[in-house]
Amino acid sequence: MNDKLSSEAQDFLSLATSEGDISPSDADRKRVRKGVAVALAATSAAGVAASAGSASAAASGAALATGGLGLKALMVVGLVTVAGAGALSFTGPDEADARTSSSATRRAQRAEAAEPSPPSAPALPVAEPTVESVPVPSPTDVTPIAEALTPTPATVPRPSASTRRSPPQVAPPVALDEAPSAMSLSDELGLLRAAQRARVQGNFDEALRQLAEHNRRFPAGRLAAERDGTRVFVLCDAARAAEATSAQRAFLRDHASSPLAHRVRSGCD
Amino acid sequence: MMASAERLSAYKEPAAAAPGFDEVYAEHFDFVWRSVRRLGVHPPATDDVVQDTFIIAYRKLSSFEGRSTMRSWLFGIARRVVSDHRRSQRRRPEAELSECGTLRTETADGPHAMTAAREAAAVLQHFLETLPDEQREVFVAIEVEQMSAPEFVSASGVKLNTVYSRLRLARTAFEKAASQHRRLHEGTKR
Repeated sequence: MNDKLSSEAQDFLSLATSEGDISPSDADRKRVRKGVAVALAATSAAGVAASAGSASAAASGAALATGGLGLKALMVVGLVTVAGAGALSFTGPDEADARTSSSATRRAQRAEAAEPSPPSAPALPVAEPTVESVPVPSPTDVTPIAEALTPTPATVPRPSASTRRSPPQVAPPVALDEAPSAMSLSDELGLLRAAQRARVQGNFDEALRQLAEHNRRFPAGRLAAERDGTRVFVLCDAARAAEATSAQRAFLRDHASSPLAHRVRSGCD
Repeated sequence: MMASAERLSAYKEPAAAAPGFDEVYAEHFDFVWRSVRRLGVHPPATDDVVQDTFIIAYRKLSSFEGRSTMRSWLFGIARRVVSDHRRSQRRRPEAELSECGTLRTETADGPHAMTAAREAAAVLQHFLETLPDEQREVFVAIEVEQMSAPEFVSASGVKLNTVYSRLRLARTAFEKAASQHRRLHEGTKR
C-alpha cells in the first residue's frame, strides 16, 4: 500500500498542485532574475563565476543580466572574465557557495531596493537610465564595475565606509584557501566597493581615500581602469571640476580602450 | 517583460553543448521556486534561496554532465541551499503555521471563494511543513514533482533504500492528512 499513494490521496495531491498558487508570479520571476544578475555581477567579480573555465557560463550569465539589469552587470561579468579572474576558485562544498551567495543575495536585494533611481544618478549628471526604462544602451554608456557594485551601504559584510583604518581589511565573502592572485582581486574589489559605497553616501573624501588606497596597493591592478574612472566620477560629484578634468585626462591617456572611456569622456556634464 | 526578453535573446550565447544559463533559468525557474517553497522556505526568504540556488547552478553549470536530468540536478542544489538556509535561520515552527493561515486567506475574493484546489494546496503546504526535513524532500521530489527515486538519489546522494523508506513514511503521513481533510470537508458539508 505504501508503494504508491492510494487513488484518493493521489487525486487530492493532483488537486493540491493543480492551481499553482505557490507558483511564482511574473513579478517574482523578474525580481529574482534581477537579484541573480546583480549577485552574479558582484560575486563573479570576485572571480567565482569564471572558475573552472566556465567562460561561456559567465557570458550567458551576462546575457541573463541584461534581462533584468541592463548592461551594468554584463559589463562587470565581461570585465572580470576578460580580466582572468578565474584564478579564484571555490574548493569547498556547496555550503560554502551557499554562504557566499547569501550575502551576494543580500547585496542584490539592497540594489533592488535602491531602484528605480540608481543611487549615483542624482549626483551624476550623465544620463543614468533606470533599469526598467532603458532600451539597451551601448556598452560604452554603462558604468561598469563601480555602479553595478553599488549595492548596500548597510549590510555588506565589510567595514563601513567610515572606516578609516588602513590597510583596510578586505573581506569579500570568499573562501579562505584562495590563491594569492585571487585574494588580491578580491582585495581590489573590496576597495572599489567601499569607494562606491562612500560615493553613494555622499562621502566623497572617503571614496577618494579608498581609491587612493587601491592606487597605492594596486597601481596596475586588474581594476585600475575602474578605479581611475570612478575617481573621475567622484570628483565630478564632489564638484571638484579642475581635479576631475585632470583625472579625466589621465584616464583617457591610460585607459583609452576601456569601456568606461565613453562615460569618462563626457566628464562632469 | 517583453523588453527584457528581447534583450535576453539579443545577448544569447551561440548554442553550445551544455545548456546556457539563461535557458536553464527560463525553463526551470518555476520548478525551483515551487520546490523551494515546498521544501519549507517562507515567502520572505524564498527570493534569497532561489537566487542562491541559481547562483550556484550558474557557477557549476560547466560541470553539469548530463548524468542526471537538469531538474534533479537543480533540485539537488536547491535542497542544499534550503538546508543551509534552515541551519542559519532556524525557523520557528509557529511562524510556519501562521504562514499556512495566510495562505488560506490570500485569495482575491476572500476566504469564502477559496476553491477546492486552493484549499487542497493549503493542506498540502501545511502537511509538508509538518514532515521531518528528510521525508519532506523525498515527498516533494518524487510525489509532487514526479521525479523517479533513482533521480532523487542522483540529486541527493541519499541511498536508494533510504529514499524508499523515507518515501513510505511520508506517503503514510500524507494518506492520513488527505483522509483527515476529506472527513473534515464532508463533515462541514453535512
